[in-house]
Amino acid sequence: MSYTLTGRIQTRVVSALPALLVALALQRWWAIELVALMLGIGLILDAGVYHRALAYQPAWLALPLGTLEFGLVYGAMRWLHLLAPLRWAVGLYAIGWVSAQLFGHAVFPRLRLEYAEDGGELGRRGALTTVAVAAIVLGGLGAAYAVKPPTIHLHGTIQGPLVIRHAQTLVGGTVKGGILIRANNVTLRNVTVIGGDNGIDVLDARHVMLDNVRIVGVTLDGIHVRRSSVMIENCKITSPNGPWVQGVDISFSMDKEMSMVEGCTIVGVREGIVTHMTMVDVTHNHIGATSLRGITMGEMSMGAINHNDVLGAHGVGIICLDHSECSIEHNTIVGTRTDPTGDSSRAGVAIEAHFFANAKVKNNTVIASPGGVQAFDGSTVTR
Amino acid sequence: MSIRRREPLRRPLNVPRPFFSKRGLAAYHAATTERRAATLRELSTPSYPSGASWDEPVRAAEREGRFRVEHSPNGSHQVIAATGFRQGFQNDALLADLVDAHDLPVHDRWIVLEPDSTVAALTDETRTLSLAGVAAQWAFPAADTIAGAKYAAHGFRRRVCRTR
Repeated sequence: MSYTLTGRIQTRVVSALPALLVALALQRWWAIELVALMLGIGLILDAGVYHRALAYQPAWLALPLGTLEFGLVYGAMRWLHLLAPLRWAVGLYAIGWVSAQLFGHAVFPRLRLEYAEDGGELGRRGALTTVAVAAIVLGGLGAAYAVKPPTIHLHGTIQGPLVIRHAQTLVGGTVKGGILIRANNVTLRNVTVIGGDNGIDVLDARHVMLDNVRIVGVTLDGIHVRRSSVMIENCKITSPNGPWVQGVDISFSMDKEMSMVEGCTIVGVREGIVTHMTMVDVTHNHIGATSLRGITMGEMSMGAINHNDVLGAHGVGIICLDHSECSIEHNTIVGTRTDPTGDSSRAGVAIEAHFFANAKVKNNTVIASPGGVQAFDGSTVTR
Repeated sequence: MSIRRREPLRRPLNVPRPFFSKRGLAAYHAATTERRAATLRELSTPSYPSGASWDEPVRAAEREGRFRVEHSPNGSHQVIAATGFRQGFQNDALLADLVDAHDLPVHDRWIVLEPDSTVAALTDETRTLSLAGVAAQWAFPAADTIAGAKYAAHGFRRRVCRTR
């Protein structure tokens, strides 16, 4: 097809209609934003590149161009921090791409016999549909922007404790005495917390994101989560103020959305990451020199403990505890030390299932941990 | 023996793709009559595609003495086969008569048509005359193709629907 610029634009915008309808049906802002992103990138390529470079566009180019645009959309998603679930995002893009092929090769030529001769232009009805689709997308974007939580930039040091009761994004700064989150859709990014009982307290809140937070000198938990769902990425918890400090504790959240702890570095605490009655994924974390256990998935928790490094834990490296269901894969556990109390369940055990827990263990690296991989008190370890 | 008055160009057989859609046709239709005629003359120059798949069989035939190119019959007693066309509406009795009878506008060897392939002087609210095939090149340079037939048909359909 030899598209005119108008034809390219009309064809692209109207072809996005199925993806837009799916996005509206999903009732999620990210879906509207993703369709807008797909359209925006496509239109920029149409006007800036394709129209000049492709006087004639053979059908087979749909595949490489689709791959190129997919890469650009994915990159833009990451760059803009568009919080779309990857699987859904790929699905929405696939719907957009497939519908563009169907519309371009079957629907448009059928509905408008002059489609090819007119270089992809869709006539008066097509122009109206183009305007309607564009208006819906822009309206959706505007609405998404209007209800977006405000972003607050902190500068310097603030005396806490800081209590957050409304959806917002907090960026930067240092807070002394801890932060309490009591609202949904709160994001903390690049925030440092010094001191307090709990560094960051999350109570009865959903869709909370803690990104690159640093916590030092707390007396109880670095991050303390109760009846909430959180995503914790790239946190750093060090220098505990006392022997009872836990790094991350997520508990009593089984009826909430799944939580995630990823890419955190936690050193010198009693337990690095501990969960009770929670669905959670614990991945790509680095836990060092814990005095009780490195990672604990306990009390009927469910989830995956994958790709973590647990170094120099005292007694136990990773434990699946008390009726929990754990998938433990691709972890590296090094130098787990034997507890001198003589308790065999703490005799430098790298991976342990305890008290009717079920652990599926696969492809872990265990070094210098005399207790190896063991099950106690009616638990099972399957390989 | 191939007798050629001029060497063919090496280029794809197709009319350039943009001339099949509004992308190329818009500029073509907006051009002056002389520019448009120059475009058609250029497109109707004899040609064949470049590439070894076209050259190799001819070279092989030349090596074996089965084929050669000459600029004149060169003393041969007879021509067995000839290709080429008498171009232009003047060589078609029906079209020539049509032009004479209605004093239709022409340019060089082409009947001047509207962009939708209709003859303006013979198309109004009550009647429609549309040309298709090679005679419709003034409206669509690739008129002697299936795409050209569709182009003329679509234009005719639009006119007829409006007439009704």
